[in-house]
Amino acid sequence: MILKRKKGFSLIETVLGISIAFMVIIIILDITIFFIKDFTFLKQETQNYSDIAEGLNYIDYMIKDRLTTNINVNGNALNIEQVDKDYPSAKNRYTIKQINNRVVVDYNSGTNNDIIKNVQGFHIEVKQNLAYIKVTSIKGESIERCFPIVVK
Amino acid sequence: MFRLKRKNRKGYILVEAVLALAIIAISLVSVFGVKSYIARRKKIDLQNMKDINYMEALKNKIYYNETYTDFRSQLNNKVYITKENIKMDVLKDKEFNQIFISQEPSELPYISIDVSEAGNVLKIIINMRTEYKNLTTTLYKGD
Repeated sequence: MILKRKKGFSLIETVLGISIAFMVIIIILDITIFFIKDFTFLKQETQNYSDIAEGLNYIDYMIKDRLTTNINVNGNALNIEQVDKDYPSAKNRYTIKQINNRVVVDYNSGTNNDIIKNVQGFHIEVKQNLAYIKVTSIKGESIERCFPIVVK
Repeated sequence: MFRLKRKNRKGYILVEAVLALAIIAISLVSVFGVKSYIARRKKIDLQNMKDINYMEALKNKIYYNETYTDFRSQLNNKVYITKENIKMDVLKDKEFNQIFISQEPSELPYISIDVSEAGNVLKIIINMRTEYKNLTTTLYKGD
């Protein structure tokens, strides 16, 4: 019997090689997709926390501003009265409240600015001279802070 | 000259396969190590933020909702708040005498409040001891 010297791969070798390559590709793809999803989630969560913290810092800034003369809470709305910087006899009134999925500062002149976006809940609880403000994002992250509502 | 004798071989030898697997394993372990570090760090950072907000609320409650006389009664007494009471809801709903204890808790985290007097001003030092850090804040309360 004459045996030929074999060159190249047999069909079974090729099929086996392709199968292993596919399995490796699927595993790598799975890991990559897992990390991309995780990164996107983490990014969104960090962004939500950061937005809420920044919005609460803004409220803190407004409350502690030396121009603030009066603060009161009406339901889940925070009303802040400030002396006008340029006309000290005039008063500016601002209302911080939730409109749909946003917390806005309403200038009581038909205009408002967003201070926190993607908000599910904005709750204010008053205990004597303090207001506890809890903001929850649509993804469920929440931050609660305590602010004085008396002007010293 | 010395020459390596090499057989005309096909496929991989065991050492190569093991080496490849070892490299893949090391990469995966380091990637998941970083991942677990990030998760741990995130948890600590969130807890830090909650602790700072709690300390701020506690300070505000002492400053705005309590009287000078209430706190003068704690003079030279160190009081503590245990782990179970380090919650915003507890601070909102309970009075101070309901959350203070006079014995130092054995379990972290806890808060200690130290009151001293200079003239008619109380110096109140609030210290939070946790597993990772100490947070301290001082406030002055006048008559």
